[in-house]
Amino acid sequence: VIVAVERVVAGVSPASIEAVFEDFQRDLFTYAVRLAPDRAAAEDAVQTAFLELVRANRAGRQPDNVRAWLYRVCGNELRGAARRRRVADRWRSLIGRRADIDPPEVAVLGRERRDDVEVVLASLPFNQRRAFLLSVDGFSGPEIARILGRSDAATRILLFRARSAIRLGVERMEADR
Amino acid sequence: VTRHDTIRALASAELDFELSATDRTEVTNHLADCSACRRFREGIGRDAENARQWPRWDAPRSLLAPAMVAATAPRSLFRDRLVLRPGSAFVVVLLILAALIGAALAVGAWRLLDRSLVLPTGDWIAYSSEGRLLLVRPDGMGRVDLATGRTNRMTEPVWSPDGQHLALIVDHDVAVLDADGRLAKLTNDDVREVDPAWSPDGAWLAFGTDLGTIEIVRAGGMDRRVLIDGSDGPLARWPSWSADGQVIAFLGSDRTDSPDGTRFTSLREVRVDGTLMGPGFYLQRGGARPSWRGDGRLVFDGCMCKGGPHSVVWSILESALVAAPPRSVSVNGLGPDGGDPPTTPAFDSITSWSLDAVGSWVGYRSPSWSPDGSRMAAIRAPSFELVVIAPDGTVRLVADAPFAVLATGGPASPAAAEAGGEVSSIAPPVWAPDGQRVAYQVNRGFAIADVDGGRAVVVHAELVDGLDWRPTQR
Repeated sequence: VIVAVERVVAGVSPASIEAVFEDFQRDLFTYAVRLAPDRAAAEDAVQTAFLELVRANRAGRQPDNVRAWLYRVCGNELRGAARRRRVADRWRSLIGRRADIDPPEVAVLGRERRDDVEVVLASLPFNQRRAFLLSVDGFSGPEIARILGRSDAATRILLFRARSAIRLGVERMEADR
Repeated sequence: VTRHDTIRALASAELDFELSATDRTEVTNHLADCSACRRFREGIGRDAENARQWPRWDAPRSLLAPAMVAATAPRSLFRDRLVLRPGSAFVVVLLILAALIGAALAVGAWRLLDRSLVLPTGDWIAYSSEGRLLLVRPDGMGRVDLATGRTNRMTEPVWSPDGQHLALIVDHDVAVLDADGRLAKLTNDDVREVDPAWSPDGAWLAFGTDLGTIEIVRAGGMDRRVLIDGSDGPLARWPSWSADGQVIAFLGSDRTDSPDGTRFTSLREVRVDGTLMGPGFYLQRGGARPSWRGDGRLVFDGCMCKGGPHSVVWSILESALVAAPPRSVSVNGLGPDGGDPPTTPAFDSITSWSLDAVGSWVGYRSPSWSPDGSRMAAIRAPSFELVVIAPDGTVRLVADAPFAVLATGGPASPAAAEAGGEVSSIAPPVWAPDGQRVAYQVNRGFAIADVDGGRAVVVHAELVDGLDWRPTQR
């Protein structure tokens, strides 16, 4: 009988998961912070991404590209959080009271000095922000397409719109000064 | 969409994707001439570079805690994955097949325990109707459906001589049903078996096939032997054992004695060792199952057709062990009205004998000996009356075609007989063990008549394709 119960969990020992964390945490967390509405949401997403990585490994679903996999899970988690947040915001408006929520860019950056691109980026739709940040973090076009779950052509258009919007916003800000 | 938009989209794509040489050339050429697009290209590159210089933050190490807990948690066996390596699909298919076979065996075992098949004791007539196997008391009461819950087609039930078993055809195979309800197929092939017949000692079964063979097999299913290999033609029906179990008479094919050298239907005999006995007894049209008497006399019917298209011969031969059955049959003429012959010979005193109803389609069909061999029952065409013939040749009407089913279905017509041999398909009457009653098939169903009292009762009014009266149980 060739069927075997095989433990495909090599690489998820505490030491190995720590190593993975060390390799990717900085880029992933920065990506999440710039994509998330607030820092807490970014932390939740990053925490979920590493937890899911362990679960996937224990279930025998070893990702081929761990870095891209983490970015995909983190982005999807943030997208779900954004949806939940929109629903919550609608309910808050119904009861006529604004919650004590910082504007995204303020929450994300805290006291850090922001440049024009950051300001414009914060106003873009979620997927455009996501695509732009992935590109900034060095993912190739096809990798971005796979992370977003889109075709190459759709990803090219998404990135073009994001860059065009940033360019337009930055030029306006420069003209205003 | 302007050309500038197209070029800018390509310029954007160039940062992430491989552009074709044509697109690259187009972008380069356009940027050389268009300062606005050149500015866009430089701008998006600058924006990206600017973004790469943004501060980066370390994730709090506490974010790793849930993953560390998960990584060190005890492993549940059920969370491990079954890994299917190359070839595993084949193994999985085997496992599924094994499961299916196991389930089938379980169902089969359950079937064996199906007590509805247990044969009740007592006086029963077994018959088959439209694929169902049934028992009925001779008075028409106590009907039992032995095929309840089964999808098999069951036909031609025949009681063993000791009355303890039923041989039958199940889905074209010969099978035996014992008193405990166990149904065992003795054959299992693509050939269509027909006409099962028990040997007098109940140890063997003879049967015909659609390949024209006559075969025997032990009642336990072993030692199957082909006695007639079918090379003489596709016809081999109604094997019937002699009383000593040494000879089987059957309706087969022969060409040796044919008037024109072609194959013809004949009554033939074969020893159980496979030795074919003598030339056949020529019949131009087939008859019913031959009936043996204890002393070796064989009665059968067939059509010699020598006097006309509907000439019927009905013969009694001496012992089949006589090497060559008599060929020269005496012919008794009929009355001018086509009725019964004025006299019939006393069959105990003759070696061969026939009635010939030239051109009138009157004849005696499907004769069968009573259990003690003292008389014969037969069906008299064309109105399907049941008659009994005494040893002195006296023909006595037992049942004057009283069957309602026959009246509604209509008797077989001479034209139908000529076209399809319907006359030849009349099953012989079946005697009760006491020799006082006879069961006989009618057009649709069967009836039981008191031989001496002349009373007939229709017991089953559906199409019947096999019928046998249980012998006295031993």
